[in-house]
Amino acid sequence: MLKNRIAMVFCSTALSVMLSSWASAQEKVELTFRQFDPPTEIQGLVAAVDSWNASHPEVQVKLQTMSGGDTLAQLAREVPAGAGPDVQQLAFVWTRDLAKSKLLLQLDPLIADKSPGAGIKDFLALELATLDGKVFGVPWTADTFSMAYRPDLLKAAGVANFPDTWDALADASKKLSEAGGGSADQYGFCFPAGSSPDSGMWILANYYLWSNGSTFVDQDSAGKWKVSVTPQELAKTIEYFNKFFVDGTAPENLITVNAWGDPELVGGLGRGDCAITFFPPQTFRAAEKQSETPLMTAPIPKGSAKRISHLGGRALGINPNSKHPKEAWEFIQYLTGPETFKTYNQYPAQKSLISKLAFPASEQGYVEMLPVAQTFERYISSPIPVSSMTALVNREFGAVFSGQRNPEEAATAIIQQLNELLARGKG
Amino acid sequence: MTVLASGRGQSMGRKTGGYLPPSLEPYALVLPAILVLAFFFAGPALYNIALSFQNVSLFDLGQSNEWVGFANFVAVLTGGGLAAAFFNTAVMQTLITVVLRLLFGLGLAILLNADVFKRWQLGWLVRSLVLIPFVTPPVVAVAAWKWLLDPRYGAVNQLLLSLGLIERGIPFLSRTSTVWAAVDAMLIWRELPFVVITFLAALQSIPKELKESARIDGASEFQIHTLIVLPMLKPVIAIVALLTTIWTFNNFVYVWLATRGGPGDYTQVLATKMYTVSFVDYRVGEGAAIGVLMSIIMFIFAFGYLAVLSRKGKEAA
Repeated sequence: MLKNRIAMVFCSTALSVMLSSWASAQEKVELTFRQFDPPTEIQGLVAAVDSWNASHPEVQVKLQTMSGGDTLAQLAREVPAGAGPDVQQLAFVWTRDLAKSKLLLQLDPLIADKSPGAGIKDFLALELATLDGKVFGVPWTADTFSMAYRPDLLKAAGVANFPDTWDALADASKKLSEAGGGSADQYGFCFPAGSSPDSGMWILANYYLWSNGSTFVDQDSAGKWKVSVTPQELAKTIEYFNKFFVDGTAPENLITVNAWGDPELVGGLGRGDCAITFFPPQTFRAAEKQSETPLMTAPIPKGSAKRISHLGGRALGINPNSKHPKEAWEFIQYLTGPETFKTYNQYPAQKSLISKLAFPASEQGYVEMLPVAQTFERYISSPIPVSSMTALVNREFGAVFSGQRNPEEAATAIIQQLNELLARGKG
Repeated sequence: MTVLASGRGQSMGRKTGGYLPPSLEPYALVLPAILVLAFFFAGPALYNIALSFQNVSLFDLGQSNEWVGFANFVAVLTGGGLAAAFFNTAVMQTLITVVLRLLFGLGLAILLNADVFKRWQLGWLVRSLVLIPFVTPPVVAVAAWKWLLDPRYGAVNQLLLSLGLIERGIPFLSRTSTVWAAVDAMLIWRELPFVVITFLAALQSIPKELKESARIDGASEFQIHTLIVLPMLKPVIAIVALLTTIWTFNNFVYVWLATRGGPGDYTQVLATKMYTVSFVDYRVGEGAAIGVLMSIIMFIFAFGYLAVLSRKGKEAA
């Protein structure tokens, strides 16, 4: 009798355990994926996520969009509080800072379990997602900038070939503005010259400096970080870009334009208000859609040392608070795979995938710039937060453009503050 | 009688059946409200004060951080840009716009209080129209103003061009000579309705008989407004001035959305500086110190202001 009772209790317990585990196996996993690119540029990503959801009924993904300027701070607040999305899109330059403070899940065990794509070494800019030899993010998309222009306007102004050097760009810009009658109808060169901490001026300033053999900060032979640019080099750089406003070959209202995707630039190129600007690929495509005449890309102008641009892009990371890291990893593998890039109009960050890409003729500028593009590794490894450097440079350039300081004063101010930031970083 | 009996019964019930002595009951009744206030207001404020004494980066929130005494305050006060940001906050953003709002607000309220609107039953319409800017979210208001001020396609420049006053569109937000006027215009447009509606309500509470008897005594409309209406509005003007000053001094959105503190750092105010230090330079401790300094300034202003008002009130009495 007792044996029967024990057997019954055992059977019913086993049955309930089996049932509950079956029920939990059937339970739908819900992941949150947060990205920060503008909604106008993510239709392809939305399609890719929809496609995942259709083929993975057991792991559903909710796509969240947040503005780029707020994402990092939001993540830094959420994760310590035990919240945040499961999968987070990251700017290349953020990954190490987040990893240092344990705000990202270390991915090595997941990579060892199932390596993404053609192996983790196949990913560009992996060094930016690595801290002390451990991987905290998977580079997802890669891009760089190239010059974008209206070939019809260049032809009309008698500019036979796209300017190959910075000086040639300034000359061509003058010709193009004059061809527009010197009125507000047509400007030679338009660029985001805003003073905001996230203004695109930072990128252009670095291209000019790097191509002329200089850089803001660098390590000496002993490994010590120091300010590398001289006041003269920096003043010359500021002077170069300020001259576009002094000569009237760039519209003055660009002093408040921060984003390269601003309608002043994207629409301006299409309308012919601007003959030349500079864009990353997705912004160039948006401009192409808005333009009635064909647009073209060309390499970034050469300096005295070389031609160069930066290798930027997005990485993907997993929140350490995620209750479903394995599912999140599966989803990341899908996002970095070829299926996603069928609809997502970005360059993949995998060498094996990018080599198979067929670039349209209008995007040849990117084909030439990608092999010479360099990451911001040189700054990310320094004791100064890249965002502080960016804010400082944009602010001082803006002060010159608006006539508050001359280039020499601004150069001195930048160098002095970089030295202070270096001292603070070491302390 | 019934009421009395019932009341007596309740009172006795309280004495015998209550959990607390009657002397503590009032405290018990307000305790929930105090707890809610402490949780939502005092808690974050105290946390911010604690952060201002710590060396904490944006990525180290929620962790135990090093206590550094007044080092953050020293860094903020000796670092560059604080004096300019304070001047911009106190004068360019607050003083100018508060004074203009009080003047325009009073003028508009007197206009809207005119009998003609009541006679034509248009009072509800004009009050609704005045409220439109106030119900527009600041982000939308600033975006709309940026379009209005666009040098090539903006309505303001088109108007000036069509009147022949300018030859080329003015980039209002790019020039140091015009940028503060543009930001202040946005702020005043969006925030003026609060002042107008408050003054209008106060005006409507002034007994008509006072004005009528003054008219019978031969007072002009100007005398009625300066000698009767304005003195009666004084307490309301004082409170509106205090509230708008505090709100504007701490305001972040208008400058941030319109200029991000630029061109250069020409329109940098304390609130945008606090944001930049905390979320761009990642120095949350120093950002919190700026926040504490802003609070101290506003406390001193509010207490000083109220003390002066109260002294004047006593003198008048």
